[in-house]
Amino acid sequence: MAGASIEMRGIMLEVEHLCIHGPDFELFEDLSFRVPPGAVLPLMGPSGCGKSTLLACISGVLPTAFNYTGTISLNGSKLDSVPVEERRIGILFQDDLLFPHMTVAENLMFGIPARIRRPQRIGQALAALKAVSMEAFTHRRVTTLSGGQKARVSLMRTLLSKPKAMLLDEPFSRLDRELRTSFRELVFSKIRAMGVPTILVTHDHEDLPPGVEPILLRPPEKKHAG
Amino acid sequence: MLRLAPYLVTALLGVPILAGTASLILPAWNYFPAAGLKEFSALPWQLLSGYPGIMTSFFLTLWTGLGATLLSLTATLGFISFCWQSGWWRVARKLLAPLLAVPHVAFAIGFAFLVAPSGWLLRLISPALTGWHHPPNWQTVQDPMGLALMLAMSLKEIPFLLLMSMAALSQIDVERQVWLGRSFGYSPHRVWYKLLLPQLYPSIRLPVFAVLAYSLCVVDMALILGPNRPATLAVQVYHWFNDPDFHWKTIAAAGALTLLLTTLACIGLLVFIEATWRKLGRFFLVNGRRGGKGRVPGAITRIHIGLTLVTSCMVAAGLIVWSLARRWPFPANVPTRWSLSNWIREAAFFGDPLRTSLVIATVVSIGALALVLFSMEYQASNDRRWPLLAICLPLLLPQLSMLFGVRLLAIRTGLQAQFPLVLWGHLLYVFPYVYLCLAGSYFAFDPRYMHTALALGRSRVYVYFRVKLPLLIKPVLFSWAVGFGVSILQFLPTLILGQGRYPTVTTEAVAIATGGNRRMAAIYALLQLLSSVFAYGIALGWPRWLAHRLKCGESC
Repeated sequence: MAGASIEMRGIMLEVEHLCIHGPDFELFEDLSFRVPPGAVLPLMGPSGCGKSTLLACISGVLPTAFNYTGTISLNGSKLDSVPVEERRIGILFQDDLLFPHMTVAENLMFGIPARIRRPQRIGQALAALKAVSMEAFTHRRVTTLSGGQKARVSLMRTLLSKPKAMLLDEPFSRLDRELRTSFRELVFSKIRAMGVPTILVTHDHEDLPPGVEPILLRPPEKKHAG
Repeated sequence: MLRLAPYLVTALLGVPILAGTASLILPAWNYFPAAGLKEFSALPWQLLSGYPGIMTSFFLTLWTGLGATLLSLTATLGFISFCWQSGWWRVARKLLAPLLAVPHVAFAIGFAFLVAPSGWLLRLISPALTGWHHPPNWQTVQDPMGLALMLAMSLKEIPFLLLMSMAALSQIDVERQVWLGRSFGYSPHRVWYKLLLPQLYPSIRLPVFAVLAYSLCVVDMALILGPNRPATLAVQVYHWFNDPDFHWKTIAAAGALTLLLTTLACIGLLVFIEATWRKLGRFFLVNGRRGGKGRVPGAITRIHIGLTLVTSCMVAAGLIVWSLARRWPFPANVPTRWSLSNWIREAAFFGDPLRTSLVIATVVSIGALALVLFSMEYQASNDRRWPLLAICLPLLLPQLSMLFGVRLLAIRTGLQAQFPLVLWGHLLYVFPYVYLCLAGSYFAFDPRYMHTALALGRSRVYVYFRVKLPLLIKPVLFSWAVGFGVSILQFLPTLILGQGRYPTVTTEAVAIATGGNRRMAAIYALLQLLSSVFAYGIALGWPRWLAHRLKCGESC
């Protein structure tokens, strides 16, 4: 059932001539890239080079101390003045961020759009859990799950919201080696199946999809006085 | 040494509270040897239930207490949902300390100046908009519905709930949860309703209960703003208790017990509503509705908070103006004659109460802070937290009932009103507030600082005073200031445990305000306010001065 709800979207994420201005520094003087449908574009760089700021900018939650020039577009539509909630860009954080006051199934249902009726919503959540072999955890509190289980629930929650693009902020870094490999394969396969363009922030070369060159970001340069 | 902390706190605060509250039970059943009553009977309850207007008093208590709590809670949660990290939020953060510094009695007196038929609000629009040259014949203060009391209490409690909420929010990853929720397509206020408020409420549950208990059993504000024919139950009990005829004390005991049970029932009601919501509200949480922009509720919330800020500023300004007014006929916006004569005349009288207030507040706030630090360090070193419910117990039990019980216990044991008893009465209420204000920062302190310093070969005491306390100086001083302010505003502990022998600016302010002398009431309310502001000034200024000195030291 989960498979049925997943559809190829064919949406392209484009960033052109992006420059983010901080209080006294500039990030990425002229950053441009395109992420085709179902592709994963890795971003790498040292701490403080602005990887998470770039994700915040694409998502539409750039802190007020920053502003940017350049364009971000999804399938040709510019996102500049589109609020976060209308961009429909899914995000997966390093630490899952499952909502502690909801059960596993409720966390999944939270992501499903309202137009889908309740029985179908429940069906989709159960199917998503089955797809990651977690159907026995439907009514469990998320605080009782292991790290790997939390990561899988978090991924399925994002996918069920049918995002137009996805941002992955070091989602594998907290998992142990074995779990990391299997979860990475799961994430990439789902992204390919859904055809959503995805940006992956990582520090680890092992996380890179095969044959894909990462974009290397440099630390920011201080603005010169005067 | 630290091992003594739980015993010390229990002996100082726990045992007397429970003993005091329990000592209400016997007089409520007509057993009160001090009045020659040595046989149990239900007579006090019969007299209480037959007292004229008692049911109205009871329902007024419920109406004003529950109303004020719900109003302040909805305004606080609404403000957080709609204004988080906005310009409003930054303004509120800056004004929080001064708003908290306004004592309840000072606020009530200033509020009465504003909303009275001859008050500032009507003066500002008269006669231009109303055509009135004389105050209308309205009863906006001490109104029979208790609206003025309810509104004033709700406005006064918003800053406290906001402070508690801000402390609780620092433990939740708000920024990223809002981002995540919005990335699913939810509008920001829906993200708050569905994700963050359900996580926040359990952390502010006890402060909400404390507001409820205070609102149900308030006496000082109710004497100034509340209805008096009949009055709320707490005020009735207070009058019975003060009656020189000892027999009234048994009815007062029954009334105080009723207040206690009412408060516990209302807390139970809130617990029930929360549990029901947690069960039935789950459908709402996951129904997938993303929601609109919420412009209307957002605007209402902003107006409400704006009014709270404006009212608080006008309350303070009104106190200053009234204290300097020589002649201020209606409908003049400001006094037609200004003078310092009120201050000069009263200076001969307010010295003693002011000194008593400052001595009590200084001793009690420092004592409470030391006790809080002592108990927190014990908990931190054992990595075990005491249940917050036990800490907040004095705030959850009606003040009047508990103090009344303690007083009855003192009468039974032959203990006379003594200054240490008054100090203890203040400590009882200052301790939980200091604890609540400091707990978040203290327990979030990174223990590695201590471990690193200890590894350098220093003693635990040295490291505590040279590393931990200096790093926590801001929250420690702020919670001390809150404690100082709480002590300044105490009315019942001073009056009941001191039997009126230790007048403070607060007891004088209430006595004068109920007598209707606006100028004198304004002076005592301002003295209260200035005492609190003085403490907040130290708490906010000292760390800045230390930082400035450190900076100077670096640059020199």
